Amino acid sequence: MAAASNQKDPAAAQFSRPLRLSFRDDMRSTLAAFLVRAFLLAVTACSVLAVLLIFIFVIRQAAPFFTEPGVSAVGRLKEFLISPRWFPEHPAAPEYGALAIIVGSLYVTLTSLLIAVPTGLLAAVFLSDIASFSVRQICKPIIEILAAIPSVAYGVFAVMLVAPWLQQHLGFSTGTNALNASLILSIMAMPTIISVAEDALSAVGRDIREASYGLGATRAETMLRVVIPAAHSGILAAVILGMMRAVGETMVVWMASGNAAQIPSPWWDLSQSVRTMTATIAGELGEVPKETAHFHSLFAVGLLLLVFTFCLNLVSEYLMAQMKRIAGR
Amino acid sequence: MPVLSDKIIQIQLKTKSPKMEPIPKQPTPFQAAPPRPAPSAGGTQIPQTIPPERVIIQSKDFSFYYGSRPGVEKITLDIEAGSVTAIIGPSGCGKSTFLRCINRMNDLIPRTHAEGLLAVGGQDVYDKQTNLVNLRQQVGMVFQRPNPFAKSIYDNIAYGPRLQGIRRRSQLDAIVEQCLKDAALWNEVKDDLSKSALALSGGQQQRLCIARTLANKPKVILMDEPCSALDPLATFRIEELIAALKGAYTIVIVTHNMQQAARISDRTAFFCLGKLIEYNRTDVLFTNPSRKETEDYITGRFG
Repeated sequence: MAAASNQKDPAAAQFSRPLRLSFRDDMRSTLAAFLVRAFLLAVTACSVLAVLLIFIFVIRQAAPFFTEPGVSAVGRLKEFLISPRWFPEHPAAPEYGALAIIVGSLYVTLTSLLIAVPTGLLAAVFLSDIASFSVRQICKPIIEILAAIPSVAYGVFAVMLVAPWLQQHLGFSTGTNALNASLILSIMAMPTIISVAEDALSAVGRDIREASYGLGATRAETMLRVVIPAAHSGILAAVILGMMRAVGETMVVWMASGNAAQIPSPWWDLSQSVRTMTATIAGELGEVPKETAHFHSLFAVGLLLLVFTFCLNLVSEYLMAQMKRIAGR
Repeated sequence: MPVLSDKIIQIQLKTKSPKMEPIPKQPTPFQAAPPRPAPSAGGTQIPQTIPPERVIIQSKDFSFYYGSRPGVEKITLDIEAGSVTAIIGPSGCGKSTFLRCINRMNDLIPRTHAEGLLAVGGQDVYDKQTNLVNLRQQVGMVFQRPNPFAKSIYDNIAYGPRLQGIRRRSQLDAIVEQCLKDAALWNEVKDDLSKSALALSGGQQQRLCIARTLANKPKVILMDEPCSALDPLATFRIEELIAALKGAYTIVIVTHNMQQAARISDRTAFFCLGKLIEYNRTDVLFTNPSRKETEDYITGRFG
């Protein structure tokens, strides 16, 4: 027996490839693994760095607005956040009150969500649970195409079709107003909301639905009591993604909102023109002389926008983590 | 020595012509079946043929089609109230299809249709006027994989009663406690009923699903391979539970596990390729099958 094992073991012969590599081969694979890891790390770092650099750049460009000689930083900040008077081009006494455009941004965003969220969620429910397979196969690509249309096309639509219609049929003094911008924004936010919410609803398994039906629940009861509660975090993500889309949108609001830096009064009057932060930056940055207070004030607006979306993102992350904890407890 | 008369096997429905009761238009609660006569000492407990008044599920030439492909064909069998009936057969033989027809869970699949008669408590299940809510509340179902809702244990059990309009907290508390006790889960979870049902183990989840079904006070419980995702110990506990529920509930269980069918059921139906091959008392079917296919299957020659 011992002699046999010293010689060629027929069982060992089947492992024809060595289990231990030579030092050189070993080094080569270690090096390759290291290089790939380093490359992937670099790529990831690039994107993280890009975000950080944008932040730094915007902060650096916005800072001179507050530290301009001859004005107090606190007073500037106060004026910027509290005053609704945005007259940065006034030759003698420019005013940098951004409140009106902050309110304008929130105004069209929230109004558009008011339209897009209920509509989008109902559409998602329809697509995930009610529509037949063939209807779903037709509807989903069309909705995704809606997301692919360039925003300037929506803008043309808003100016050429919606605005005259609003003037003629609702008797508004101007067709480019908060309602017009909100309507178009809601259409633009809807594909995001529908597809993310639909994914969330579909991700709730068929077995959960069957459990509910098996206990004698109707389709509506199953939807409201089981599927939507189980999909809430995804639905919330859909709403927040839609909101980010609406807040960040520039071209449509520039074309459709009327661009009047004013707070609507009374506050619910959607027929008045407003102006958003994004449209202000897009519209004025190209015209303004560099290194002036006006130039830097636009970066302050941009910084505010950045902080706003950043907070929105944090809130959504926090809520989703919270929801997951509750669901998985 | 087996008694000779045992060898004369009658698949009783094939010899008897079933007389249907007129089907009422409005869904009415099931009639309580008269209790099974007490077994005479020494005699077999399970009668060879089911007396007509004890039939709770009646299937006569029942076929179910996916598109044009039959899932099950011409199934004729009666199921006795308060008994445990096992359905065995190789994969894809239509046993789950048949089971899911009994409370019409197959309605969720598009382009299917049923032919023939399938009656529960004397009422045609596939009648156009059948109220699915009432049907499914009285014919509950336990699925292959435990599927608790992502809610608390309490809310899982209270789901059915709440659908039926029970809102009083004290009443719900009583139902939850009773069902968890009936499902032999109470002692394990009573300290924290607000815990998520997803935090339970697989076997506990399946018992929770059974408790959830019991909360609807069903007459029939359909079980679609309830132990196939569970380990042997959890399987044992479910089998114990089935034995305990027998009598109070009619249980129809689909299983891949022939030992399980032999252990827990009073009668066994053997399905193959969408057809009912043999239906008989479990002890007879497993010791003395009348059909070649059945014998081949239970002895492990195929399947």
